[in-house]
Amino acid sequence: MSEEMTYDEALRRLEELVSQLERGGKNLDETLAMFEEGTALLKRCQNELNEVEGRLAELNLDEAEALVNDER
Amino acid sequence: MSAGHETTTGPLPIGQFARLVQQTVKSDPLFQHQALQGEVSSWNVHNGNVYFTLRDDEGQMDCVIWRNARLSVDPRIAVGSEVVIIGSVDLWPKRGRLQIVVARIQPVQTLGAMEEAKRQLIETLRAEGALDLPSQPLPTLPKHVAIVTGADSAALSDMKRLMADRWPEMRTTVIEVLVQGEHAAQQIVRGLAVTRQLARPDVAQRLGLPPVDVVIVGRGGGSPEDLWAFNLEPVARAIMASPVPVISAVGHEQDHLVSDLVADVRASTPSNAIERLVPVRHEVEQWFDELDGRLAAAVHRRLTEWRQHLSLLTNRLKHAPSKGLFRAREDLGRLDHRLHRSLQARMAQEHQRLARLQATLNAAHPKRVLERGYTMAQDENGRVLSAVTDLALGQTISLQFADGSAQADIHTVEPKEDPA
Repeated sequence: MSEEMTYDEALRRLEELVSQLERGGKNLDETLAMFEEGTALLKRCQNELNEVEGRLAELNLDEAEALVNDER
Repeated sequence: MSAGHETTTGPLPIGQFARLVQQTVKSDPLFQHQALQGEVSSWNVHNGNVYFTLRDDEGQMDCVIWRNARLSVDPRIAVGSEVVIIGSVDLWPKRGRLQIVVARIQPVQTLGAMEEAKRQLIETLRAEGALDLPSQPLPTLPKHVAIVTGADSAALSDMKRLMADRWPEMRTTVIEVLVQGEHAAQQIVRGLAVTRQLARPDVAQRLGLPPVDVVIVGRGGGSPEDLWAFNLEPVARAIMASPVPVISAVGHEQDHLVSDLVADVRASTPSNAIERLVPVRHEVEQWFDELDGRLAAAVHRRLTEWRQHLSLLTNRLKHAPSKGLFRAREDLGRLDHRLHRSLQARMAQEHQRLARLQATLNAAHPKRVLERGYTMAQDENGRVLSAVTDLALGQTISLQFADGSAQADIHTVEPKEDPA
C-alpha cells in the first residue's frame, strides 16, 4: 500500500500515525500495526532522500530541444 | 562658403551645389549612423525598396531602406508605428532630395502602450478564468527541478549556490534562454516547451531521469522593458500549459508581472524561488529522526500502559472468572462476609466443645482421684498396679497420695475368690 503513495502522502500518513500513537486509545493490535506501518513509512521516506540526488545539467536552448526531441 | 563662390565666380550650378551639400552631410559625423526615433507616417514598398516618412510633432524626414541592405524589418511596422532607426543622411543630387538611408529599424513600444497591452492580456486571462485556477502545490521533495533562465546570469549563479547550500546534488536541468530583448519571449516559450517534455514519464525514462516535477522560470531584476517578456501572452500561455507546478521568479518589486499571475507560485527573486522550493537537507533528516523517536516513545509508552493494564486485568480475572468485574467484586464481598460469619459460628462451637472436653479431662485426672482419698500403686517402673495378681511377695511398690508418695513392701497377696 505504501508503495503506491507519493513521498508527500507517505510523510502525511507518518505524521498522522505518530500523533495518533501519541494520543493513545488504540488497542494493542492496532498500536503494534500502526507502529509497524510507521516504521516502514519512515524507512521509505528516508530512502527517498537519497534517491533525490543527481547532477545539475546546464543546456542551451538548442541542446535542450535536441535532447527531448531525440529519437522521437 | 557658398557666399564666396557667388562673389568670385558668379552663380554656382545647382547640381554642383547639391553635390557640395551631399559631401558636407556625408562627412559630418552628426548626420551619419545616428539613432533617431519617430512615428512612421507613410510606408511604401517599391521595387523591394521601402520609402517611408518619419515624423514627430516638430518635424519630419524621408527615409529609405534599400533592398540590397537586406535588413530584417519587423512585419508589425506600419503607418503609425513608433520606431527607432539607425540612419545616415544622404542627398541624391539628381533629385535634390534629402533622405535618411536606414541601416537598422526597430519598432518601439512605449511603456504606455506596453502597459495597455498587459492590462488587456490580464483582462482576457481573467475573463477566461485562468487567474482563478487552483495552484498546483509544490512538491515537498522535488525529484527533478527544471530552471528556465538566462545563461551565465547572476540569477542562475545565485540559484545554484543556494541549492548547493540547502540540498547538495538535487537533480536539476537548467535551460538557458534569452530573457530580454525581442527574442526573449519566444525563447522562454521554447524553454518551457522543453520542460513539458521533460515532465513526461516516457521522455524522462528514455533519458534515464526522473520526470521534471517543478519548473522555475525567471531572471534577475531590471527595468520594466527588460522584464517585459514575462508580461507577454505566449509566455503566460506556456506557463499555464505546464503539467507540473511553475514558480515565476523574476526579480522585481513593483506590480506583478503576468507570469506571476498565471504561475502556481510567485517568488520575489530567483533566490527566493529556491528558498521556497528546496528543503534544507539536514533539517529534513533531523525531522525524520524526531519522528522516529516519537514513534518509538509513543509505542513504548503504550506498551508499558498495556502491560500494567494487563496485570491488573489478570488479577481481577483470577478473582472473578466469567463475571462482570463489578458484580464479581460485589459477590466476592458477600462471600467473604458469609465466610467470615460461618467461621465465627464454627469457632464458637469449637470453643464450647473444647471447654467440655477440658472439664471431662479435668474430672478424670488421677490427681483429682487422689484428692478424694484414693491411693495409686505403681511398680518400680512407674506402671500402675491395678490388680493383686500383678504383685509378687517381697516386691517394693510405690504408693502415690495427693500430697506425696511412700514405698511399701508386699507381705501378703490375697486375690478374691472369683465367684464365676
